[in-house]
Amino acid sequence: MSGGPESELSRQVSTPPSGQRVWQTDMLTDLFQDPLDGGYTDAARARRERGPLPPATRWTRRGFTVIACMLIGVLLTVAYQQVIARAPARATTRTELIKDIQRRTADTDKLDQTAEGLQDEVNRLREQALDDTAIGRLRELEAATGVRKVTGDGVVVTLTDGPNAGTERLARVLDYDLQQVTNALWAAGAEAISVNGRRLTSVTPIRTAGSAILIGNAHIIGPYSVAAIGPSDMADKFNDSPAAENFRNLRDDKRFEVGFDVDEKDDLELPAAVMPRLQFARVPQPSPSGSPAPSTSPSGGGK
Amino acid sequence: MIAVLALIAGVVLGVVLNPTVPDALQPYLPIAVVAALDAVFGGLRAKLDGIFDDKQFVISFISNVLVAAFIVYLGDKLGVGGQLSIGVVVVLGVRIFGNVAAIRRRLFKA
Repeated sequence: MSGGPESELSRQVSTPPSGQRVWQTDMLTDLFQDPLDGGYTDAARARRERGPLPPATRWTRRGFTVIACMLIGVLLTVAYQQVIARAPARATTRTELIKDIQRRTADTDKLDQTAEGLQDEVNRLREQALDDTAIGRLRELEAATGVRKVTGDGVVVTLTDGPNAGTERLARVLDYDLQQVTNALWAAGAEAISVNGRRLTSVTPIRTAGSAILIGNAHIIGPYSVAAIGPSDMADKFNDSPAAENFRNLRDDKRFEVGFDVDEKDDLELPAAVMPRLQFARVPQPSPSGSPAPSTSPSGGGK
Repeated sequence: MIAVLALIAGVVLGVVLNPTVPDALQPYLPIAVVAALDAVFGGLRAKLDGIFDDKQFVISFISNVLVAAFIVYLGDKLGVGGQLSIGVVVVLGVRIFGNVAAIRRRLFKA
């Protein structure tokens, strides 16, 4: 917008009389050296040369200036109000989203309960249709695979994020830590494990999605309590495991202070997992399904 | 002086009318503000230099706003909206600073 004729003129002026070519100032230098629109000087020179404009024209132009100034005023006000108005809008969106999340979590919980109830009903109906030995066998298998509620004595391992989990990576409980704990529990003889009330089956992964830990498809947040039912020496075996040693170190280290507790508890009740739907794995037809898979297999926890 | 009064009147008008900006125009608002400020400070400096011209002021204001909005629009369409906006803000910001510095030199002789 640096007025064409003006810059043309200055170019001619800046050319030395010798006719020797010189490099013109480039656009950026021009911008930094003289930020004023060239048009103003052009107009001033035109005024000098032509004399003042007729009053009517002058007043019309003055009117346009006034309108432009008013427009600028309105523009500034509107922009200011937009900024002010947008802040609460952002907060509203945020609370809306939080509400949405909470509502959907509640929905999921409700659906989980429904699924559990339906599973109970299925079990009841199935047991009506089956004879006693078949029922007994079925219950055993379900308990072993994790799709039936089980009770028994065992251990509860509690993990909590350290106080400075925000900055110190090792102070945070990660999916890997839960895998370590569950693997050590399986190795110590656990027959059933649940994490924050989510029962592990043979196909339940423990993994990270974003900053949340997922048990199967359910996201859980700390404190993480891993409940396991197993033999009476399970707690001792677990405490001897490298994983427990590692967590004790993390707990005692002043930099991390990860919460780590191992409690022996009687009469633990671990919920049933929703029956995993196998899409690709099939039972081979000729032989009847073999002995129940050993529940101490670590494959449930160690994905 | 009349321009300052008009500016104040515009602010009052904006407060009283409280117009809502259509969503489609909202991305252009910040750039329009910067462009308008450029025109204002340019005009103010010209006034102090004694070479203020109404036509030049009005046209520079309108074209500043339009060109700035167009660049932002083009940038949005090309997928480089942010960068082009920065370009506009830098160029206009340099001009605003330059003009304000000139005004300052003129007013305070410093």
